[in-house]
Amino acid sequence: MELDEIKQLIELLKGTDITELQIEREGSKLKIRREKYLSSFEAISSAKKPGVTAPKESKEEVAEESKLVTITSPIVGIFHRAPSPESPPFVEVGNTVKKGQVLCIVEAMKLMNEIECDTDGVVSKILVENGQPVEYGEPLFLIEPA
Amino acid sequence: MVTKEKFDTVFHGDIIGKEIIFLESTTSTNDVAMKTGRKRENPEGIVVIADSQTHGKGRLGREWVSPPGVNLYFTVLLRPPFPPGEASILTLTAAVAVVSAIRNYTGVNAGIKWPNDILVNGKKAGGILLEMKAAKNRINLLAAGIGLNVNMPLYELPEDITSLSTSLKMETGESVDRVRLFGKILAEIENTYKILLNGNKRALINEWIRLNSTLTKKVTVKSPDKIISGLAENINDNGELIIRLPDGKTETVNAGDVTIVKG
Repeated sequence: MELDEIKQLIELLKGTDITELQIEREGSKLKIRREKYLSSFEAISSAKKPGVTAPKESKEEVAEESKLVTITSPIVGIFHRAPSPESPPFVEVGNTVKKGQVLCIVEAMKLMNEIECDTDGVVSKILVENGQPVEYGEPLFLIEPA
Repeated sequence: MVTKEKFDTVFHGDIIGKEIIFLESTTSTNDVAMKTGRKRENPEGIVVIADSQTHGKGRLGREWVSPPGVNLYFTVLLRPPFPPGEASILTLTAAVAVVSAIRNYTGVNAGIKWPNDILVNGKKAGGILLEMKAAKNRINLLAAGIGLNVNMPLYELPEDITSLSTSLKMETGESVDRVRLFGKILAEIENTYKILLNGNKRALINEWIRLNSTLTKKVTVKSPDKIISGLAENINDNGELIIRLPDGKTETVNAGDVTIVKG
């Protein structure tokens, strides 16, 4: 699917109430989902993972959304929100966090990768559920910088 | 009697053991090592060893039993020059180093349970837990924590794990010189790490396969989102375990607790 075509589709959705659109064609899959905070979009041509999000139309909103910092996973593994099953999660939505603070662990083969926050701010959204597998580069958290 | 000097001087390689920090007692050598590593410009090769730990770390908050005077608890700090996604090979590398040292120095026929538990006669004698701080494209700090039950007597083990755990001495009846074994393990870590730095990952995977006691066995893997049972068929180039399910399909696993099904 060409970038221009995707742009056209996004344009088409603007001003409508459609929040999700999914198209499958010739081994490629595109999913556009419109949510409050997400502003980036990506196309995955090999029909692997849906997860494309269209930008919102209002310029002011886009400016506000673009301030959010996305924390991604540097490895493939299992997402753990807490240091142990009995412990409370490292962070919850709405928590104030500091740069360098641990947000979660991504585990692969007994290698515990502590994912740290890139910035001082507030946890705006947690994008993955506890115990779920995550891919390389997969967004995990959205942080609203202080 | 444990003396600082003995552990401090037993091995100094080109990379590993350039500095060995000995502590009589600490919370966890991984915690001390991570804190130490963050303060150093070049932490690679620093080793932290303790005679006992008050909060020895296992996977996901589990405790590693760490009484004084009998076992080895230590952490090796590394900063491998490859992307974080390739760091999991170090899990296998550490296990290869520890099992090679045990076999060569003590003659005990230790084996590896995927990915890196040290087994003797089917019971766990050692565990390895790696912790990493990484940016998107590089590893800032990696701590390889190793706990090995050397001369620990049975009564030191909590009752609920006596059927699953052991020490080298419990299996052979012979005491092992902890300091010398520690030196041999560091030397093997240096060897295997150099092989990795030279780009010969395949040699390490083959060595893991030679020393493992998981493949060709029936296993159950418990991960947070599912339980899988099947035949442990192989590991891939990332060290992930490939399991042949009863319906003939395969599943690739990169985290979870593996139990070898007896019989």
